[in-house]
Amino acid sequence: MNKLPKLIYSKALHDYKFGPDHPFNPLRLELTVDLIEKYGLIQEGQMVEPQSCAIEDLLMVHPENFIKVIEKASQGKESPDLLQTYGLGTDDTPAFSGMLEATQKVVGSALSGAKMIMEGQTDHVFAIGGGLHHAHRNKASGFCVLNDAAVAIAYLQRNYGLNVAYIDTDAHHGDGVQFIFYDDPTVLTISIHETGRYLFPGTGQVEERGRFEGYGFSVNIPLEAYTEDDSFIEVYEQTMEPILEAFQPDILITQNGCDAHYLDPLTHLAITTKSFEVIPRLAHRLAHKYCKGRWLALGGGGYDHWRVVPRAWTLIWAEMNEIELPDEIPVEWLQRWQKESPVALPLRLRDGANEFPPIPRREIITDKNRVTLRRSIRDAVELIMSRRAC
Amino acid sequence: MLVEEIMERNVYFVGPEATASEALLITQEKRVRHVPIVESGKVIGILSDRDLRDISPSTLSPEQDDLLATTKVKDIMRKPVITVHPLDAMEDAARIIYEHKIGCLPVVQNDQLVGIITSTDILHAIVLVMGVAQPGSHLEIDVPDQPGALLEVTRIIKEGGANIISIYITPGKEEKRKTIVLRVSAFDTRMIIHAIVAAGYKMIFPQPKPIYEERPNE
Repeated sequence: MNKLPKLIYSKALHDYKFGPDHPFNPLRLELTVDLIEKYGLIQEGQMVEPQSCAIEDLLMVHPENFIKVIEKASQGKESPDLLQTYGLGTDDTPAFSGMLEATQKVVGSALSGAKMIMEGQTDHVFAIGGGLHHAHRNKASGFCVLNDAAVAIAYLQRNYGLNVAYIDTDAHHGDGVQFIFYDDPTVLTISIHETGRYLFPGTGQVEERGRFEGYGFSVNIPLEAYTEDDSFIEVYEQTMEPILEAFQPDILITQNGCDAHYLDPLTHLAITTKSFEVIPRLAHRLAHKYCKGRWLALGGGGYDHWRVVPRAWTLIWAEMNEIELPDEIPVEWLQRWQKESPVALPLRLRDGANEFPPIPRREIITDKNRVTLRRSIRDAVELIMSRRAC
Repeated sequence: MLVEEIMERNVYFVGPEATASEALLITQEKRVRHVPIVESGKVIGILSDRDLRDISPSTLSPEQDDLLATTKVKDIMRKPVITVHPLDAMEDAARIIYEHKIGCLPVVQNDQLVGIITSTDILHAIVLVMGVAQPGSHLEIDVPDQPGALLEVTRIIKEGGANIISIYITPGKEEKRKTIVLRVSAFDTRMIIHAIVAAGYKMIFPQPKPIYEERPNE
């Protein structure tokens, strides 16, 4: 059997779209998959068509009345007041025609990724359209209508009784996934993000650790604005292994938003592709060390569609396939897209050093991140160990 | 916000004839730092846990215990007591606590003790005012200290389709400037930020970032 990693993508995922000027634009998927293809990284059978999920699958996480509202909004038949109540009346996350079906395909791609792994078809899946981590049980938020990661996690719990580790490196806090499983000690959520003091959604402080039985199983590392690679990588590498070692997960799910890049228009972190190579490399190693290789990677945020998302996510797919890519971006890709791009496309896969002027307060930012790391991780490891012991 | 909205109504107090050790016991058992001394409902004095500890015997010489048990609070209490009314504003109570370097204010209505407000209660109220109750993004804007600046900034936010979750204004870094600090219910604040800059204000955080057309041929 072909156990090569699978990439779940087709143009059907482009239906998840809020309008031509909205930053969450499916163009980024198209550009990314085209770059992967131009690099010659797709073998026969590796690209899998996204399957729509059933309404019953959604009901594992989302209440029926919420789904009914989305269904009506999908046909343009819902009242603005009710849309507001469910987080759908805003410029951020406006209702659009065919919204339910488009979202079912996004959720379905994460869910079928989880199924493929559990049924032994493959160990690693990249569901590139997924990662809608802001969607709450009964409220859409921050470009996310329904929560694909949560549905996949609920499926793994119900059908296999697994302990699931969820690592979220999007620049925004993974609030939806965290709060859906806030009481649950079988789901460990770890989110590294720009501090909510500045950035949407505002949550994700160190002291958000979970509730009741789940106390200790939510871990948050809020980073200072203008955090750079060295500090980001230090925090990321020092967090993941001790916490996963304590938790002993059966499967690893990663949310790979790449909006922490310094070019991203919506956030204020300042990392480069250097971090986007480290993130999947460690995730990959930890999946093999603790989870028998089971690794479901999701997409997520990332709003510099031309220069950042294609490179960051190509690096994830290359890591999954254990291929070291040459640094030159394939000429065919540049020729295909440069004429449409409003910015000069990057010629190299990896950013160089000194891409941007030095950050003035680097030293104090690094120090603050170290303090945050210590506060977060010390208690997290102890709490998880003590809970698992009883 | 008024004192009556944030005060603690359940007050632990003693009468003037109570002993110092009774008052000390209240601070320890009820985990409070201040014990008003009340006679016929009137506040006639106050003792803090520090006042009581100051007259407590050293743990190394327990034989002096008698002194605490025989001293009456009316002989050591602090007076007069600064109090506030339930209809006083929270910010006035905060200023009194800050200027007099005290930890709490008994709340008095019709000459009767009806509550107590501590520095912790005021901090909690401020946390709520600045708080993060729903998803939003943070903006800090430098504006001239003159009429209309706040109006214009809020109008821009409205036109950007965002709701204001919380707002406060701090003195600016330079004279005759103010800083407006807001949380707005938007994920993508670029349009709002560009409009604010175009209106002639300076963003303190975040700095504006470029907006590109997504795809000219679409």
